[in-house]
Amino acid sequence: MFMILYKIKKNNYIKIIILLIGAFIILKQIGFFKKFYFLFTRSYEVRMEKNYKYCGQESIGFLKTIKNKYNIDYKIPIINFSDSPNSSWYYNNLKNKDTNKVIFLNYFMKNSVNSRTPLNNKNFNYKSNSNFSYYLKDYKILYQSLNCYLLEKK
Amino acid sequence: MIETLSILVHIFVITIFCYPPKYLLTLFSDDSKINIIEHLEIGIILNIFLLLILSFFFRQESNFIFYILLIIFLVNLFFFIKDLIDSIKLRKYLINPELLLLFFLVFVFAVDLSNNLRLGWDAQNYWLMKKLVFSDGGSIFDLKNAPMPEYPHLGSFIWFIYSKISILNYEYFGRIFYIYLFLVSIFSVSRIIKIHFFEFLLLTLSIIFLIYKINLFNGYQEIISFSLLIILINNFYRLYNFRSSNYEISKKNILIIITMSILIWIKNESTVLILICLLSFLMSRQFKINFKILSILFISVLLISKYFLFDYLELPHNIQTGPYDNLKIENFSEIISIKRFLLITKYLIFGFFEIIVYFLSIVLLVIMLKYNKINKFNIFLLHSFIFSIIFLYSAYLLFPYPLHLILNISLNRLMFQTSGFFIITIPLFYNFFLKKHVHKKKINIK
Repeated sequence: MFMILYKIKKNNYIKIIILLIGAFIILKQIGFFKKFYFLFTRSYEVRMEKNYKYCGQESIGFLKTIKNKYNIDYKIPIINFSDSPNSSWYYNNLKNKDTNKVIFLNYFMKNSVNSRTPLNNKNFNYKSNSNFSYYLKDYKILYQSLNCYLLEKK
Repeated sequence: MIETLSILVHIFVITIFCYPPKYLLTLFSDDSKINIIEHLEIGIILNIFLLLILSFFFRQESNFIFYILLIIFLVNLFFFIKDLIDSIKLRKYLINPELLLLFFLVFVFAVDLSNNLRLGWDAQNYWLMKKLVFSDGGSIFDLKNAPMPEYPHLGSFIWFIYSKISILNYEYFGRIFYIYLFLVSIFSVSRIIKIHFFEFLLLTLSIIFLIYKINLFNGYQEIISFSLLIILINNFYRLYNFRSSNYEISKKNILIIITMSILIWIKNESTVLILICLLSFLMSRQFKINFKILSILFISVLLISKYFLFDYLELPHNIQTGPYDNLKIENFSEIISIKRFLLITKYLIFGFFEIIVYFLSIVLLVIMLKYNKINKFNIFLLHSFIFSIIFLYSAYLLFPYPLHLILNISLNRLMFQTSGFFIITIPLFYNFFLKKHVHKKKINIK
């Protein structure tokens, strides 16, 4: 390292200054200093939650919460009602087990919990996901946060 | 703190995997003196090729491939340390400045990635699923149960291996290898011309920051085919400038074949990319007919072997399940229309300005062709450009559904992949400009 600096110093100071200024601008542009700080202060799980939202898009934050809260060690079916990909990959390392639980992510209701009116999730293909009822009245709500639900079949 | 250290260790581990012993390099390079960037360029290609072969032997119950990787790592590490000691003895740099710069940039982008963990839509739905097949202990035979089984698996397998061998086993450590590959390809394209380190630095950084955005590493495979295409074109350039007219004996041919064999296992579109290369190469008058026939034979063997391997793995052969399955000749008159042609043209123009490096490369290529019409390699690039455009038009004209959405989603990604053909024009133009400028200066002095 010192040998490199020595060699550069001999060549040209101006080049080093230009280089350092250029490097600083580039690092600032991509937000390196802030991100480097977050790498120290935020855990991987926290950064995952920030990227994938708590309840919205893939809702990894919600999945993490119920995994920890209920000590879940098996895969629970996930239905994501938004146009984001299904985040079942988050539970991929858990074991397979028959369960009567189901997770609804980004679930929007037209009226009330007992409503039978058409559901209000515009981007969701109801026909291709017909294994589950989409009405909350058919489930017991175990945990809810915003529009994300951990449900159990009644 | 642990994560930061893990990233640094991981970058070092990748470097060692891509640092084969020097005597091995003589099989792939015509020059006796190989710089560190070409060393890593050959090393990374060999590493990916090795992973392709090992992917076929991966089984849940066996650690065979990890033992192989461990042996290779130890051998490479031994030679890396030996080269380091030699370099100290010769009173050269302790660490090569180019290697130091590479380390630094990989680290900067890895930190960026560690804060932008979100995978893209296709990545979550297809490529990550293939990776999870391996993470769950499945073998290559289980890929038929993954979504989009017709897509090749190599990119996902690399992702799996490099996250598996990392200290923390986080998913994104696998994608740090993608960053490494991208940077090695850009470094190698800048090193294709002989310039001073400071010029190399400015040129490399300019190219990198013209292309770089964090979304390139969101699990999509385009960045791999783009980077491999750059390395492939570099080797074509070296072949075109081979000292003898007996091109068959150039060792670059082996590297070209290996790179092509990797490319076809990254994405299905990559097959088209190597066919574009082949066609442009066949149109070149520089090479003898025997050499051209041999090239066709080699590439046919690659494609046929992929076909039979897919058959063996019970994977479908179609390019993409869905849209193109419904393509019928009788519908051609409906789908191939002036209106659709103009729409594609509009999006292509937008794409050129979106992927600014594509636009810049083509402009520089045109300027070089204007001043030097007889340069065979520039003509090769021109043919590649024409074939790429034909490919883009045909891919979308034959798409049997309305085009707006698909052009919005995929055209930029496809254009980005094909831009890998032309990045080389940036250093070549710099060289061309220098020569012209220096030549002019000399005349003025006289």
